Amino acid sequence: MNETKEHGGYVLKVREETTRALATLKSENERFRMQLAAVESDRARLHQEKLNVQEQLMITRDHLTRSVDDHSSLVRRLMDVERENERVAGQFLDIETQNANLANLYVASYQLHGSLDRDEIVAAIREIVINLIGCEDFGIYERVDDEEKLRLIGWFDVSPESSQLISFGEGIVGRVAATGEAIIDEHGRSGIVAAVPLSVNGRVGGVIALFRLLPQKGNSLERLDHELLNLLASQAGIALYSTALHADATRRRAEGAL
Amino acid sequence: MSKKKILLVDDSVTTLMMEQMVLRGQPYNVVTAKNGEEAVRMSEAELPDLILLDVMMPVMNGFEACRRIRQNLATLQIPIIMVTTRGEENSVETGFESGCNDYITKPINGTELLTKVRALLGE
Repeated sequence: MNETKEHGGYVLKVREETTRALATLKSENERFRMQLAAVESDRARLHQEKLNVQEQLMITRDHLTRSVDDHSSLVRRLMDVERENERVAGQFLDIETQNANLANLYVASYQLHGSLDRDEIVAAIREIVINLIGCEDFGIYERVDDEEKLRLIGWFDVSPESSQLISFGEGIVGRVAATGEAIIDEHGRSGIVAAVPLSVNGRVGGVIALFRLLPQKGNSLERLDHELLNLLASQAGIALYSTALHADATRRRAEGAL
Repeated sequence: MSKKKILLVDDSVTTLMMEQMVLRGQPYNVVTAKNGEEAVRMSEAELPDLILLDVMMPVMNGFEACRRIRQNLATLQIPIIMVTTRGEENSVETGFESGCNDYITKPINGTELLTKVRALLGE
């Protein structure tokens, strides 16, 4: 009887302990289940965040690509604008140079036709040769009436032998007078940089000879100098011829009045 | 904005006319004098923003005119460009000693003239 009682107590005790252990396990199980749920939730949240970050990254990458394209396009446009700017600056400089050259030609032409006084015209030719062409040794020769000879009527620092009468065909000046063709020798090997005929209707009425240019010109004639020489060749002769006609007309009028 | 005034000084009518033609297309008022004495007088009367001064002139040459302009309190700050016929060192040196700011040589190159004028006028 006692043995049975002891045995029953033991079973009861084991049962109680088992019940407690089961309760503990259930509780643990419930805790783990909740932890697992939290982990699942975190995992889902992180996954979503990862997707969001990836999407943001894609957007940023697209934006960056567009920005790089825009930047390249802007750099190309800037280079185009710079090239255009350089081209316009070059054109502006060309126009200013052309304006300055035209100013020279206008002044020369204006001075040549600004008077009917022979001395003033000779002075104007002198000024053009000195100040616009830049010559420091030159002679202006005029035909002696209908003879084939030239005499010096204007000069600057010219050598004495150049002031003698020069026959047509004699030396470079005489050759220019005889042929009516200009001679340009920028290296000055012939002793003359340039000699141009002053013609009126194909008849040579004089010659302008440039013997030495100013040192800063380096004996080099620029395009403008050639144009000024052409202008002198065509207009200075006419200007001198006009002064002669005017003087003749004035003399005849004075004689008529007597 | 008022136009800047430039005093051109040269005894050569051709050079004066050429300088005027080059500067006429720009926003400047131009006044002229025919010798150094006139230049000194006009620089004080007109108070130009810049003077373009030829060296070889009758009555008073450009070097002397430049010195006198620099001696006058009213005109000593005016920038002066000397116009020399010869670009040799002596001429240039004398020009700077007399107080000029820059120089150009004849025959005047219009583009060079405009560049130097603009530089001295701070444009």
